[in-house]
Amino acid sequence: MHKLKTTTAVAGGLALAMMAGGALAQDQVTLNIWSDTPRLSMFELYDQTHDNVTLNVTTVAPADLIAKLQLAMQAKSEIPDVVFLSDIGYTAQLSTRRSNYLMDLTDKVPQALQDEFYPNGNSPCEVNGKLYCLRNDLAHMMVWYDKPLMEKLGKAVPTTYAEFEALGAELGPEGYVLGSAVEAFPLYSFLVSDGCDMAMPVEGKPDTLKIDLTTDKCTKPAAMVDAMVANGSLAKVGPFEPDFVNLAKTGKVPLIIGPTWFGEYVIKPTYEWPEGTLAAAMPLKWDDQDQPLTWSWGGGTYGGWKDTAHPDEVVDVIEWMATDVANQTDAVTLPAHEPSAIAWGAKLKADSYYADADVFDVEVGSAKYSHPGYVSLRFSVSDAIAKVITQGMGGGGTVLGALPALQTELTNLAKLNGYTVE
Amino acid sequence: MASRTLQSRFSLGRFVVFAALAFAVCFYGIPLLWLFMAGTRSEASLFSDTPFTIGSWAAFSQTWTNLTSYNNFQIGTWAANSAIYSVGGVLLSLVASIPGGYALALSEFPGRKLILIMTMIAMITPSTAVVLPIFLEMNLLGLNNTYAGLILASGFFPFGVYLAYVYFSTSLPKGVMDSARVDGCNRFELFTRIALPLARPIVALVAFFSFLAIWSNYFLAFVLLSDDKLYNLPVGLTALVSGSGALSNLPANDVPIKKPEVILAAIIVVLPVLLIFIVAQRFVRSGTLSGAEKG
Repeated sequence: MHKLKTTTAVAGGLALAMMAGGALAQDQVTLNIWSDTPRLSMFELYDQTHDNVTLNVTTVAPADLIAKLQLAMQAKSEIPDVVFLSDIGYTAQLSTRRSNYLMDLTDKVPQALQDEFYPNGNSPCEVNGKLYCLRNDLAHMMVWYDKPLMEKLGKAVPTTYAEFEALGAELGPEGYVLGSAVEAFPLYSFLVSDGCDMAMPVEGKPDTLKIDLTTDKCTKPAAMVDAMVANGSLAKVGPFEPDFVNLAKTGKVPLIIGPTWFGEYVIKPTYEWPEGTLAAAMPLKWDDQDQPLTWSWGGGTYGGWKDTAHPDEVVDVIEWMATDVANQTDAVTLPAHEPSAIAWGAKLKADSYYADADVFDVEVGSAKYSHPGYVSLRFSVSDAIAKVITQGMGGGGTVLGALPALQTELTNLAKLNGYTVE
Repeated sequence: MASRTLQSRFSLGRFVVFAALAFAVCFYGIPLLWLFMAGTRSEASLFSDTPFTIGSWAAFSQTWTNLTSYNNFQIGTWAANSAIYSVGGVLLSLVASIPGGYALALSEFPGRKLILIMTMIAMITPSTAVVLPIFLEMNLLGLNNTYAGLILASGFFPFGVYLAYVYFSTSLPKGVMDSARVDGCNRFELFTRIALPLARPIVALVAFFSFLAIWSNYFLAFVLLSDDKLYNLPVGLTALVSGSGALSNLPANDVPIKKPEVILAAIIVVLPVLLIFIVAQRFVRSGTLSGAEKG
């Protein structure tokens, strides 16, 4: 009897040990991650700081992400659990009936954490009222200017589009330029700055877009761009083209409207403005607006696979990548998560390169004016602008004259992609 | 007499021919010349200096360091992968296409014409059209994301079969084959002892074209490989360049891959092909002429 008891106890102990071992083994989770190159170090940091999760990180070309994901889903193998989405359009493209990849995070990410993002910061992640991703970084447009040059010219930094246009009328004929008229995103930013309904989602109506380019809110910015192109203050070359770069290097660009990352990653390394030159100002507004309405140019997001075997860990990776303050402090661009952004901004405030110490304050101060229409669509409005307006301008056309064709192009694209157009 | 010789030397026809050749050299050569010169320049120089400025050793060295130090010299892994895929694929294509071409040229068997027609159809079918079926097939066999999968898919080289068929059906001296047969060679010995040693130019030519196709293959590798440790150079460098935003308008990152690194990467992809062509051009030249003259 005693022997039996002993045997039973030993067997029970072994079983418990095996179960514990099994539980431990189950706790160790491996997730497949698809990242772009700049986010690799952040994923590696997560891997190092989380003992229970191993990340198998693969670098995927951002432009190839949708095609590769569709192949993986077709093959039903090697499907990533978490992806970095570098294009805001990918959220809508990956939450359709045919490409149904993204996990609905609406109830998985606590509302308190969602509220820590800047206003409209997660708009590119919301499709038909559901949250499918978390935003990594903001990229709204603001005013960048050459402070000594503006002072030398005796000009005040504009605060409204009327002042901006007037400045262009004065400086354009003297050979100065205030930006580019042909790059799709800056042009897009001008055209929607007064609330133009250029493929904007209709609240409460799923998959419905409003496209109406005939209103004053669209024609007014279009006419401004045409006038500034005519007087030479908006260049007919893109801001990354050598001709524009040479203008910027030779003191012919006193001011340019660009996204938050423009100072650090374009003006500093490519335009090579000297230290103590670059300053920033709030986005411009139209005279009939109480406050600016600023478009964005970029800003990546993190999404997860809806059928992952480890949903809790996937949500944890997404939350950590987008909102962990220690992680985001070293992020390359302005975090969309406010506490992270405040920690991130310390190094910008201490950077002696800028003419003023308030560049970070301007960046976060203007975040609240982000356009709510900067959302994820299943087609690219900027591609349509490049096709219809930019190509037309190359042949001597005007932005105002191209609006009807753009309306047709956008309407066709929207309908082709399953949207109802109002 | 002398003036007539001079006149014939500088005739209008010769002038037109040389002018056309000079134009072609400039038209196709200038972009290549620019590529090699631009590989030595810095980002700032690419924007500001004249197109054919020669850069500095320091700029080239920095570019090389940036490119090779990325992700623990991952570009080296991709280059090694490219070499593995190329060597494996070339060997497989040679093993399949040279005997295949020989059999089609010198044997009469039922279905020979059908196989020849199928070879021609496979040759002219765009490779992108068959990539998806290959992907599904490899997926079924569990060979996606493996060296074997891409090597197996790359070994399919119908152009090599056709080249070998043309060579063996036109250039192999019939008398030598008949003599060997009289001397007691069986079919296998005829191929290995007589035909194959005589077919060295065509083997080199098929190997060269096969290498060219596999080394620069982007789409097949893109579809079959999703693990970046298995990428070949074209897919890996595209991922790197695209991810760093070096050529797009979203350069907001600290990855030191900019336009000079992209140019150097392009040179790295082109250089092995160029070197192999220079080394193998004697075989390639003689191979391309094989079958041009019968008898």
